[in-house]
Amino acid sequence: MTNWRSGIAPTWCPGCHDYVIFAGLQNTLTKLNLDQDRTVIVYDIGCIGNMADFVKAWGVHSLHGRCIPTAVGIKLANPELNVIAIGGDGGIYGEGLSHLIAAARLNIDITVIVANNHLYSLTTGQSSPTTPKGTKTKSTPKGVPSIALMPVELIKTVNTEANAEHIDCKEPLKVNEAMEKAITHKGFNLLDLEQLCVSFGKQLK
Amino acid sequence: MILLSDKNLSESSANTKDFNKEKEEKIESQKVIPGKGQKIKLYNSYEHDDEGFSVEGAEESKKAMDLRLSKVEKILEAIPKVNLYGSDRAKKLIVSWGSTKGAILEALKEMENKEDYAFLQIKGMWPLDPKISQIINAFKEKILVENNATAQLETLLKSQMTIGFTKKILKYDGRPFFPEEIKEALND
Ligand SMILES: Cc1ncc(C[n+]2csc(CCOP(=O)(O)OP(=O)(O)O)c2C)c(N)n1
Ligand code: SF4
Ligand SMILES: [Mg+2]
Repeated sequence: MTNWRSGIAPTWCPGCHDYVIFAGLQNTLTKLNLDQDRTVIVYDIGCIGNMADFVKAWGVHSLHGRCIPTAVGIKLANPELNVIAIGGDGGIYGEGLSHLIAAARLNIDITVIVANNHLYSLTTGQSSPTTPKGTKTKSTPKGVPSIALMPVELIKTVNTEANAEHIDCKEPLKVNEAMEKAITHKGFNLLDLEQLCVSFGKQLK
Repeated sequence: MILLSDKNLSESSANTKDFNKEKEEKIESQKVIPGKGQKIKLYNSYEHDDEGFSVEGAEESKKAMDLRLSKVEKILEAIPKVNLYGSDRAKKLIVSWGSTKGAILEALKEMENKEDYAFLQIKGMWPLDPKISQIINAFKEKILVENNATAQLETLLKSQMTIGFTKKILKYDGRPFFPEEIKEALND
């Protein structure tokens, strides 16, 4: 059986849903028995991106907002690789949103997994594009003025053939199933995972 | 690597020599990438160890920074060198960069006292070769030609070396230089 763990212990806060996503990925990689030499995971910057250190696979811990273009480049360079991009709502729906749309339009066969905690959590809790309107955060003391982005609806509008799903980390088995579906589906995949940030997201519950 | 271009250059076309295929193949074979059965690696934008895993210790961070800085020497060897046109004994040196080159060379062809001029085209901006200051300072009169409003190259040169320009020819009306304008400004 292939070992997909680097041996480095995760550093997320106790109770963080990022552990569910990590476990889901470990289970799925093991179940699908992917060729480890042909599997590349590209991580964004953020709490969830820190998964880079905990996984044993070819990887790139890229830049904030830039995990998707890096993943697209890798897939274009070698279409035989399984390519997964993992990041947060801040990186993927904020700074990297145009990359998400471009990849969905290209219908390129990669899987994008988003830990959507509706916050910039690594930087201690500023608002992100998916923070509900009116929510008070460190960067929006009077409440978020903008309407929250609906990522799955957006991507389905851009590419009707894309596999785009929203799953809550409170249901880990569904997370596993959705990951398996996304990684095996040929074409573009967006897995938007509802993720609780226990340290900065209590007002969002 | 950041490739600095400008509108005038990017709207033009030119022939180039064939790329060095042998060199490319050699680089390709040396790449550490998935699918070739090599030892798995994490490419990491954080400070990292040999396998690519993040390191956060003060000592390790400093070591990684020192390693990066030590590459400057090698980069200086590889970075595009300056082009010096004309005699290194000329009285006056024109210093410029980017797409002004064609217009400057054309203007010099038309100048009556063309032997008085040499022209230095700077192509590698950072790291900046310290030898550039020796080249420029060997000339008595130094003339800066730039296609921008704030003399960006001068700002860069002055931040790294002691250089004073006798004359500055700047154009910033959204158009490239024409040789006649440079000729006129030089004669001014
Ligand atoms: C280009 C760039 N901009 C900003 C930052 C600072 N930064 C680091 S993590 C982060 C936000 C992370 O939020 P998200 O992507 O949602 O991930 P999370 O931490 O919530 O898992 C920001 C803004 C950075 N590292 N790089
Ligand atoms: S700050 Fe929030 S998202 Fe980050 S590890 Fe802690 S609980 Fe998880
Ligand atoms: Mg987030």
